[in-house]
Amino acid sequence: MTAASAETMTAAAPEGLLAAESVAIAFGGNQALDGVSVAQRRGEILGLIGPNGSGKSTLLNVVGGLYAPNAGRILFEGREVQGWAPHRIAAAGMARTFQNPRVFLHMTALENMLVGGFAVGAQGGSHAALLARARDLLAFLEISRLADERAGNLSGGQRMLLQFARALMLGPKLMLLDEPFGGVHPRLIQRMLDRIRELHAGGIDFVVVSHELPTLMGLVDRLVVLANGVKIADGPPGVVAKDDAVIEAYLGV
Amino acid sequence: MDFILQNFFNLDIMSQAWPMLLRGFGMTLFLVVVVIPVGCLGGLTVAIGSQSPWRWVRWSTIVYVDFFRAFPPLVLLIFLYAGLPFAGVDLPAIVTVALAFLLNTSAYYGEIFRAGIESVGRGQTEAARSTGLTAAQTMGWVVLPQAVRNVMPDLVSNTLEVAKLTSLASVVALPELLYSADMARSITFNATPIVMAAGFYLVLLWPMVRLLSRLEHRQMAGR
Repeated sequence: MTAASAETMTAAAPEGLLAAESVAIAFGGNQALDGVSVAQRRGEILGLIGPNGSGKSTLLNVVGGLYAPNAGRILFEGREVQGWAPHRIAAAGMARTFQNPRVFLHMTALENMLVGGFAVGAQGGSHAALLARARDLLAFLEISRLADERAGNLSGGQRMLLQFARALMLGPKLMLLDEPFGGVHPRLIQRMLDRIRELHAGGIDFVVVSHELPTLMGLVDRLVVLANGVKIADGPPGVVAKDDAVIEAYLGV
Repeated sequence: MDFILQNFFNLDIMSQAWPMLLRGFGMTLFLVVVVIPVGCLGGLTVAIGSQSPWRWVRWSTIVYVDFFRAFPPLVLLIFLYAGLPFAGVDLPAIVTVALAFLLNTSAYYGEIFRAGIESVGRGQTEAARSTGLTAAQTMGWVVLPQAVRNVMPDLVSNTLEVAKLTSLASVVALPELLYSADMARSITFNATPIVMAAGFYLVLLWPMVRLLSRLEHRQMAGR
């Protein structure tokens, strides 16, 4: 795995890694995000929580380029990337996973991985190197035995691991993980946590959206809370979790 | 009984008509291998156009599909062959046939491919784009392979219809199977050549019919 993480090590720039500035987006009459600002420094794991419909996934979709915001800026390594096509953002070093794991159902696990490497490969990686890297990453997530299995036949947890591995093929600097622990066996959750920590030690930063607050508390450096498209708290997890507004909004009491 | 054998299964007539029908069958095969891929490609273009981010492209595909699905192919063919010369455009029979089939079948193939593309969830596209693929790569590697798989029975079924429709070319004097058989009939004053043509069509199409049946069963079982 060291090969993958070493490539992603970059000299720390003085500015932050990722910043969303006053981001707003509406779908029809629904203001999904209403002036949200979030900043992430290099070396930070950021947790993003909030009730259903609070705008967490929408924020990831805007950051990852699937939606263009109606207003506001997204800065990645100091560059404005709002409105960029998603494949361009992926190539710039931001990879993501989805809440309902989205693997390419008609391909094998290994082929899924090669798709993930295509953007990297197009920049000069040989096919053999790509294949070796794909197998390394499958091994890293302990799903090597599934390499030749059709992705459509994989279980939910296996798909979760596969899309995570596939995202790693991009050699990202930042990973956006949408509910990586959702509906996953506790043993797999532990595996995911271990891998995230290893990758983080190797220089990859993370934004993690999750409902599993206890799991997230032990992982993240900072916690951002959204409710109804607005940021209601931002700070160290221990402080945020005791915040009255958060308890009210998030726990619904 | 003898009357039936004499008029429909006459061995003498068969041996006389055989070379002519064989040439006709060759022309029908040629039409099939030209017209079907051309129609598929046209249909694919229409279907991809129907997913375009530009509204005018989407609308054009709708107009195109509606128009040519409402336009009887025989009328279209006769218009191109016998109508266009009035405007000074005199195309060879084979070209009018190819053009008529391109216009007509790409509307039908287009609708089938479109249904297939739309049967592939949006999530697959979003995942592909987020994994670094451009819109075109996403279409070619992720969406179309799944789309074609999902509508394979409809594609084969339509292809069967198109293959049968090649007999329309007989009206513009293109010597394909039906035209040759009808010529043979008028020369010999006997219906045997028509029965032979039916036999040729059966030999050509029956494997496709079997394939279609199997695909349909498999798709039912897959549900």
